[in-house]
Amino acid sequence: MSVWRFLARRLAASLFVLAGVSVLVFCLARVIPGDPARIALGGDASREQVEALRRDLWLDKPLPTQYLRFIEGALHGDLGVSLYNHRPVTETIRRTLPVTLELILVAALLTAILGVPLGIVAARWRDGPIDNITRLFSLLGAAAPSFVWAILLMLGFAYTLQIFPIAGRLSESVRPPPVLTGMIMLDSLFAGDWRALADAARHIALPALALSLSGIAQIARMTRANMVEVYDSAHVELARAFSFGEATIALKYALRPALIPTLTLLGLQVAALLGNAFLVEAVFGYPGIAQFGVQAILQKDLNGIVGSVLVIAAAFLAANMAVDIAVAFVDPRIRLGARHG
Amino acid sequence: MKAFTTSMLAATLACGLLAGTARAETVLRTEETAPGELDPARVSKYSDGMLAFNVYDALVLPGAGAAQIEPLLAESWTVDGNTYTFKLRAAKFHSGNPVTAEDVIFSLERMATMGTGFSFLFRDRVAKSEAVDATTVRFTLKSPFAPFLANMARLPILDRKTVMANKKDGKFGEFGDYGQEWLMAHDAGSGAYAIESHNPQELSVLVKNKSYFLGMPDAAPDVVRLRYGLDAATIRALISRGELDIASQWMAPEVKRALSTQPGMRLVNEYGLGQFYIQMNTKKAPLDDVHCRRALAYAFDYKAALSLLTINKDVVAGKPSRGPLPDGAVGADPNAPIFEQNMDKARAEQAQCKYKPADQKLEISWIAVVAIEERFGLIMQQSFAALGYPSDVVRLPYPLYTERAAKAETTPHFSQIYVNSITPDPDAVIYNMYHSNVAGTWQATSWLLDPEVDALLDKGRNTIDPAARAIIYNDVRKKIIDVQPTIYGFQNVALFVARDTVDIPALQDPAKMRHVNAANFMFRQMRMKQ
Repeated sequence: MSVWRFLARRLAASLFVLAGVSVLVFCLARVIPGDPARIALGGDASREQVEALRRDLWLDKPLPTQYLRFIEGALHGDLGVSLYNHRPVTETIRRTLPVTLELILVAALLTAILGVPLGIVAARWRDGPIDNITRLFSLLGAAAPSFVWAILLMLGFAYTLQIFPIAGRLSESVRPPPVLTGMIMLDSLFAGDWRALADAARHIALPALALSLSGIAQIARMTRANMVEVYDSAHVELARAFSFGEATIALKYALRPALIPTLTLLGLQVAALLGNAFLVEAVFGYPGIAQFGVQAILQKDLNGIVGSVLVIAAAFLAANMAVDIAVAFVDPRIRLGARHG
Repeated sequence: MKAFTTSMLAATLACGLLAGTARAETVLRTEETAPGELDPARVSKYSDGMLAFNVYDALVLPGAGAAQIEPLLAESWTVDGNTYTFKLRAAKFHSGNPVTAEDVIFSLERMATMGTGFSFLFRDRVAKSEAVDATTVRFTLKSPFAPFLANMARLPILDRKTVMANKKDGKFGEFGDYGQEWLMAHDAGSGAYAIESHNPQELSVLVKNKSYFLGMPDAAPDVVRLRYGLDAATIRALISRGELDIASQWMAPEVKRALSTQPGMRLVNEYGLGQFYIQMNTKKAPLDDVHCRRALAYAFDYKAALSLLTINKDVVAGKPSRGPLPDGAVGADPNAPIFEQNMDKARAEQAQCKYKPADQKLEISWIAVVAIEERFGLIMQQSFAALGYPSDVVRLPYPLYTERAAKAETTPHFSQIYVNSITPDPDAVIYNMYHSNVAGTWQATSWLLDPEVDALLDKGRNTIDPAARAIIYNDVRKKIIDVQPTIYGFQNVALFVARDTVDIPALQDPAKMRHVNAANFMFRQMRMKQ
């Protein structure tokens, strides 16, 4: 019951934040300089056409009226038509969000499965050669932005070594699987199309790695630092006194308490992944929502801006909620806190 | 029996060899900016034009080698006063439906009613549309409008039956949404290529229309893959590895320079379509004095601007301008002097200007996403400083630029614009830059408001006789140069990096080049090398 209450409270808080974001983005999109109707119709449209589009967009109405109409539409799944690509924003989101989500999920997975073990190994053999190599890697990973990694990885592994494809989500010769989720790997899996799955995995490998390198570095550093601290604590010494094996001590007594801040950091990393996805999507030709969002901002596509920002905000909140839940399961004090709170 | 077996074996081997030597499917891979608009009524960018010129046909086509038009779906036409009658060829849409006069009328009405894309070329022009018979269509204009014929090159003809069969509810009465939603991902054209799949932000796949009414050369690509929104580094890697045949013109000069030196690659160009103009706000001091404008135009370092576009010793992505019209346009004079820096004349004009340079601070704007304009801005700053003018180079995001351009008092002193021909008619270039009716739009930031120029531009529109029009536009050109509302930076030369795997006659032979945006990317006229 306490877990449900905990979840309900987190959900309510997330909805409150989302509502705040919607007001903020809605207003901000309308104060960016430039007439969105004129930009959408181009320089050659007549004044009458521009005025007609302004009326269609309700731009001739007061801001609160516009917002209420937006909310009414949003509750019915209608986020309006994009002024950038002239398609319903919900349709664009439906098409582009799975592309970005797939990329981010694979990147987050790489962050977790490479970052945490690297931290454990570095902490276990601290100040040794492995630790030094890990620290050097962490430094490089954290110092260079994702798009630099994207270009380096593309030049190294796709262009020069030709191990991976340069761009796109699937090879020309591979027939895309039937669309179920919009995530090619998942759709290939559902369709039992192993060739498409392998090809999609080859295509996503470099962009996901480029996106995750900074996160891997930070997670490794955080895990190492926390585990080193825990290694010095009394309960680990006690475990050693009882002659527990080093692997048991590392995984059971050192890692578990060290994992809580790591999980929190992982949640924050999702936000960073969303932020960096645009440049990685641009380099690897991924038609995701991050690219769409940036174009929407550049073209003052009011509906596109609000729709993409809200979806990205919702994805961020969902990721953070997932992390909170994971932390609550790892650390009973948080669950108990929720019960008494 | 042995002979029979031998014969069978020989036949089998021959079949095998024939199959083995059968022509493999050729694929042309190219790229452009996103999104690629497939609906003909929403065409405005280069990438949209590429789709339209291949998937759809218009009644006429921009002519090769000169500013004229050629027949396409219309085999002939007559012009009688305000009445234009087109006789259609026997052509079929991809659906198999024949192209009829009703389809032409539907396409024009759809474009004009939707009010998007190139609709301004047709808006409020036609008083009456008639299908005289299945293959004859007649338009009666409200008043004389000579560019009408050339404008028809930008009216892709849609298959009415297919569009109406796929319409959804919408604001256009019996026409519903005019098939907008469907046409964003499907085609209803008769063009040399049909759409196989289309994602406006990722990729369009076009396949050869083997029953195209003008015939389809074997060497033309069987499939075209047009990708959108790729990063420059990605384009560079793709074309180097042979996964892209033609790169778009939008890459930086240094990238083009690097690629053009690689084996198997070359630069091809497209020119005579447009120019780079620096509009001067003639309603703001000191630019309200023609002598100041002339002084600044003489002071501008044209060679320095062109040097920024130099790819190598033989190739420059621009050439000197001769005035408001690009070379080859009706009314342009190929023998007119080019614009060059001349500081003596600049000082002489400045001496006649009523303003003292030191008292005037000039605002030089550049559009935020066009990085090279900042460098042109700095060249202006340096050039004008030689006359004693202080100035600021100001970065403006395009939305803010359009907003400021709406009023003379907020329009910067200098605005940098690229204008390309969208039809083979000079009206499409200079009317939208200089007529008082369009002042305050992104192209018309000189705020010229000159009754004499207006009268000449109107006369150009109202005169049907081509020879008389050539004289009128020559007069317009001279008059505009005289009042100097613009610094004519250079004539734009669009450079594309292409692999040797494809011949692009329209970009390799000036006699085959069409002087309209995107018209040189008709894939039917390209030749793939096996």
